[in-house]
Amino acid sequence: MSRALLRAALALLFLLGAGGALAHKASDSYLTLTLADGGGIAGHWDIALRDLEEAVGLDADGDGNVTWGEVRASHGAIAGYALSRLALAGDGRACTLQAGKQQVDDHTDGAYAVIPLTGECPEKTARLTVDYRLLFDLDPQHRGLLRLEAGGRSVTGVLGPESGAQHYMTGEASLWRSLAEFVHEGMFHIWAGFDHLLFLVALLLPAVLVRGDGRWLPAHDGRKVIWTVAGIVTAFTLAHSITLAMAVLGLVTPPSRWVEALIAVSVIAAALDNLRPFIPGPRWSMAFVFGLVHGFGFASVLIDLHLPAEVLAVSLVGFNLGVEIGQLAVVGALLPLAYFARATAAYPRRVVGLGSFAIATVAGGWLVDRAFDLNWMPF
Amino acid sequence: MRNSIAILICLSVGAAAQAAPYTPVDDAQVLARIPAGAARGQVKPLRALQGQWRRDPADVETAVKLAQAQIAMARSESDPRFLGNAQATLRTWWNAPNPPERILLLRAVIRQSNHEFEPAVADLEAALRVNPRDAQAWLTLSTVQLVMGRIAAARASCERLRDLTAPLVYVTCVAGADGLSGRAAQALSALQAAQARGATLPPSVRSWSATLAGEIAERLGRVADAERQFRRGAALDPDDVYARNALADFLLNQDRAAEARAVLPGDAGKSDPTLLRIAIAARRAADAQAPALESLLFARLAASRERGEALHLREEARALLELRNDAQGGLELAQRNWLVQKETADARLLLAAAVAARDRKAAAPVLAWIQENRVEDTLLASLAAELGAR
Repeated sequence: MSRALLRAALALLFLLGAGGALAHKASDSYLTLTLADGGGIAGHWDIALRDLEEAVGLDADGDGNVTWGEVRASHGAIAGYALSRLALAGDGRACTLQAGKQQVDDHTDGAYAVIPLTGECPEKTARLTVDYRLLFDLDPQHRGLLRLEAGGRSVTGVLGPESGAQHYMTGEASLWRSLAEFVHEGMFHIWAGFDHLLFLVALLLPAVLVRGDGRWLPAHDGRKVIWTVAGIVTAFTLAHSITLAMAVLGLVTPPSRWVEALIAVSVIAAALDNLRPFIPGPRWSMAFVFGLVHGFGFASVLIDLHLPAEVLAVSLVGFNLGVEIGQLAVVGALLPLAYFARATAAYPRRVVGLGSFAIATVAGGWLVDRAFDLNWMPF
Repeated sequence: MRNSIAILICLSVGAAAQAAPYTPVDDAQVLARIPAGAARGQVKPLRALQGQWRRDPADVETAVKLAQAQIAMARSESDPRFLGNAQATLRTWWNAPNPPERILLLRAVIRQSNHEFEPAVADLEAALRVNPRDAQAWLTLSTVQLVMGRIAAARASCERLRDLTAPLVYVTCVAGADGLSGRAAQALSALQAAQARGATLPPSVRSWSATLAGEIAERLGRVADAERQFRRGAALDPDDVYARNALADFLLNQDRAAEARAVLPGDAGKSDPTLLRIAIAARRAADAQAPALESLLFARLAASRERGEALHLREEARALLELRNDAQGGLELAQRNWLVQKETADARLLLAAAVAARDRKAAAPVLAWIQENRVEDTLLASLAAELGAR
């Protein structure tokens, strides 16, 4: 082993374990925001000079010392860089944001530039979205440490490259208002959640048929159909309510990648079962078992909202209610159509057959996408 | 005198950490030194490499050179921000399942510094499948395996170095594993013999060897030998933070706090483990600066925790135990630490915490580890005896 190689090896070696000789902390910025009822935003953003040197270049004379004069001269560049990496939105509409006169503060790991922030969000913003992208292209281990005060509550968060746009509930903590917000969330989530919808559709399509003579035949008893559908929907609802609650309350935290992949599997299974029945037991039991997985999928929405403990119960009830209403709306729309169409020649083959095949294919795409983190499915 | 002035400056920075934002009055006031340490000469070459990389981020050669330089800076500056930069440099391949072999090695080094030990091992094994003669990879793999407590696997990795490196490197690697698996005395003799023959190797290698020899000697209860080796290790490579902290720990174990204080630098700089030892030595020597050092240390540890990571469990556990007499808190963190790291330091920490908290059950995993691997360590033995486990 050549000397150079040896030295290199030893250089690498000494980074290792070894009590972490460089165990001081990695890069953080501190973002403090207060949102007033009238929509005014105020706060400050502390960014390490060490990081700004990397991002913007402060050391003008290249002597390795960053002086106050050099920082003052870079005020514009610093503010421009910072504001270009932070986007705030209230209830979906962009907030304005301006930087004020910069100061300096000493944190435990060195000197930081302090950027005062002021801005305007829509009045009575109920949901603030923070899209934080500072420094990630230069240092994916950088984290934004957020402290947000709004609606009489204080919330903290750690923003990393995987966080994306984070939502925070900031409306006044009135019970009915919160409940209504979460019902809305639940409904929105199931209508926007194509995987949950397709699962329901896959279950519903053959509900208006019965198996007989080795093939699908139109069901005759309308009441029985409604009963069957009610059973399926109730089982699904019960199951996902349980796991939703468990996950939101922190009793169980399954890894989200697995959950998303399993949801895709459930859709494939339900669809394939329509083509060639292989899942044992009545349909409502399948709805229940898979409903457990879907519940974890819903939970990630609520968890991402970073709700304080007092609001959790309301959020669970409201969100679940919203999901139910959304489901019932879908069922209410599809079921009569399916019932009236069930006797047509096309229904078993085209609608159920091809439809299930299409659903299975889409879900297959989801499965590959989610299992390997490819992000190429558009929905 | 110089030492205490340095500490005072360090402390005033610490005190200001709690203060409000201010506007400096003097344009010439230096707010930050970047970089702060010995690597100031490295900045221009680093910037040049960065410029090259920006022109073509997907070029393997450039990325490897730049990432290596950044990793070296991280070490010499004791600043993990450079590791984040290195990760950004490798972003073309960071999530790829099969990057080129040299990228795999660098990715493993960065991952293990984040305590992502399993992914690091996976990367190293993949790199070694491509190039089984990569000595760096075997050396790195064995060290990660040791940290994870996989002593037999670490030894097997070291064995692969026999034909690939200088004898002292091979012997030291093996001794690291043997010293923890019932062959401590043989490991020590082999090390001492190899040291005599390895006099022409770089100081960093000889320092690593000497420090390990010191650790094994201490475990065998050969105090005089241990001191000689630790001092040699620290002297051979003054930049080696690990060697210096190991010497300080040895002196602290021998109840020689004032001497421990003397071998540590006046200014802990960015290194929390160094500040930890300084604070412990100061407290034991009843130094007047001890309280200020402690609050600086805990402020830093708290700032690290705010990130939501748990990379400093070992330091924090020891700080709670030795500086705040918080046996319960220290034990909890020591237990969590043991799940991730299983070096002798972690074992001693958990046993010491269990003794302080009078919780024999908590020590069970370490006691099992000692028995299973036939670990010989007089300190661990006396701690276990205190627990009444024998």
